[in-house]
Amino acid sequence: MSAIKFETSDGFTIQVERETAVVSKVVKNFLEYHPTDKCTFHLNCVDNATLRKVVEWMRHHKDDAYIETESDESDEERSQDVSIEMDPWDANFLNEDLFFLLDILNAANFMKIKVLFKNCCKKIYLMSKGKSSVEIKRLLKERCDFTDEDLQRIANKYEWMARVN
Amino acid sequence: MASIEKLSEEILEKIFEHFTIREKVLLESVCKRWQRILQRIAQNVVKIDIACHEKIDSYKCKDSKHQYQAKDAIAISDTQTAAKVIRRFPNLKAIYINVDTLSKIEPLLSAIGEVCTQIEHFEISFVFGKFTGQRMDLLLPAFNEKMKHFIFCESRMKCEMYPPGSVQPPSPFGNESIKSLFQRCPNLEMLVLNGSTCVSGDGLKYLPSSIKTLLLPSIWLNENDIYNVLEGNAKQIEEIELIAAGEYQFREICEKMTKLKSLQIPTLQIDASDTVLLLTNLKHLENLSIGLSGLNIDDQLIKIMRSCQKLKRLNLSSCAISDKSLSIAHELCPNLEIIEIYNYQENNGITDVSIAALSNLKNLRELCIPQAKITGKSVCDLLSKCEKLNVLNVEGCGNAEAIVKAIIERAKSNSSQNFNLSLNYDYPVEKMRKPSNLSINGQ
Repeated sequence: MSAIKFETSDGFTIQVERETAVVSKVVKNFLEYHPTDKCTFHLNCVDNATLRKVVEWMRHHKDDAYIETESDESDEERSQDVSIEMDPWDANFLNEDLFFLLDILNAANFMKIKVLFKNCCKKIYLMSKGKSSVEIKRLLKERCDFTDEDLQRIANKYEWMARVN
Repeated sequence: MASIEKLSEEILEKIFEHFTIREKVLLESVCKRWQRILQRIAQNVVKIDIACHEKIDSYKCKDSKHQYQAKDAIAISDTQTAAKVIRRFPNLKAIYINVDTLSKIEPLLSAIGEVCTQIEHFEISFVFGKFTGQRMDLLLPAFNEKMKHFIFCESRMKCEMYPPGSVQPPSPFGNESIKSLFQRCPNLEMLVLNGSTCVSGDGLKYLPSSIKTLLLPSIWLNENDIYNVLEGNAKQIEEIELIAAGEYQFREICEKMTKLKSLQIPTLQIDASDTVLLLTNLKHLENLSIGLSGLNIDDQLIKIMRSCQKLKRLNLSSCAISDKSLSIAHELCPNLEIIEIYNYQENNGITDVSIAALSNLKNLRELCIPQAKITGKSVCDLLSKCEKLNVLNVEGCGNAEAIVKAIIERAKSNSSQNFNLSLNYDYPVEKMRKPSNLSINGQ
């Protein structure tokens, strides 16, 4: 039986069945041009914990038709899918803390797993929805590089926002 | 562990796409990098509510991909502020404006005319005021070959009386404005003029040949006009609505518009029942809505349904229909979703036989057959079989109480859907615990 290996950034190796591995577009494209039974992919920006999570997702979805048919749409089409609906299994699966979600998001982007990538984006949106910019800053631990004057200027520019209900 | 700072700008863009306009603006004050990204992916659809009035849904964008669906409306109290919003988002693709009165609308229209160049969909609905040619002139510079949909909707048509000698109010835009709109928008696909305008057939003859949807529920087109409008355009038109039509206009439409999916003419003046058989030319018809002056078209309807098998909506008013045609509708047009038959004459021939047959329509959503000779029991049976039914008008039907109970049950178990029931009842419905998503009309 053919198996694909992934090597993580922290030096672990995970073996995955071929059907699962090809959920990743990177693997699929590679195997199409280099047919082989054994090969190892070095994922130098994905750590062990993240990869295990991603592989769990790939196993769950390996038989889903839409994963396969999901083609490379044009940018225009993609930007239309802004609904926040997602598969309930995924919604539950992605109930993780924000920083782990960011890891998964990065991994999904790197391995070209579009549905997982999209769903991570949606999840992050749902986590930050309804929060003020200060709260989001705290949530994401993003550094604020604006001076007080800058912030005041932005606030003035968007004073209409305060007047809308 | 990853931190947000390590995410590439492309990934952040993808996350930000999910935020609404208001949220995006708030996020701009997080840090410079975010501000840069957010300004780059500026919102391209905006819906602006100025003051508030009842929503008008009849001309909602029917684009199948919903690419113009506004995610959230910005409710704004004055047009000056709305103009600032527009100047902030010059790349808007779609603008919806909902406004109570057109007075002081000028700053908003000039802002659109001055900064917007990417508009594909423009929609305005209002209650008071006149949309004059000057107002149109402010708006027009925004439109170009990108423009696809122009929707103008006055939510209430008013009859205004002016005593002789008083100052006449300004008149709404007319043929000159519509002509320059057509010249600027050679790719216009949808034109809706629902409200008082001075547009006539003379202006409409410049209609670009890209037009697919032409809804003119307030403009009378005479025989000459309809000939001019259809000249060269007839084959592409998929949807049409006219306030009224005579036999000549009706014949022109049915014979030339072979791709028609939707035909709406509330007043169709024809003398012979057989004239409606012209509709059998329209094989793609999905929405048929006509009003006839008291003709009996039972036999003709059977032939029409046999030809137009894709029908989803059947709306007939002031014409006689009986079980003969309605009881086989489910066999001829299995996709029917909406059936509305308004016939207030005494000799209404719709009975329980039709109701029993209609219960075979799995997709039936709306059924309006006031004054039919039907019983509550058959309606309850229908309700139990057609699970999607949410609008029901059975005025004049007996045993109303059972129907009310059945629909209350359904509304309670389906809280996200709105239900509407019209019937005659003689007991206090208010005392029955009615859920908020159900409205009941009747005496």
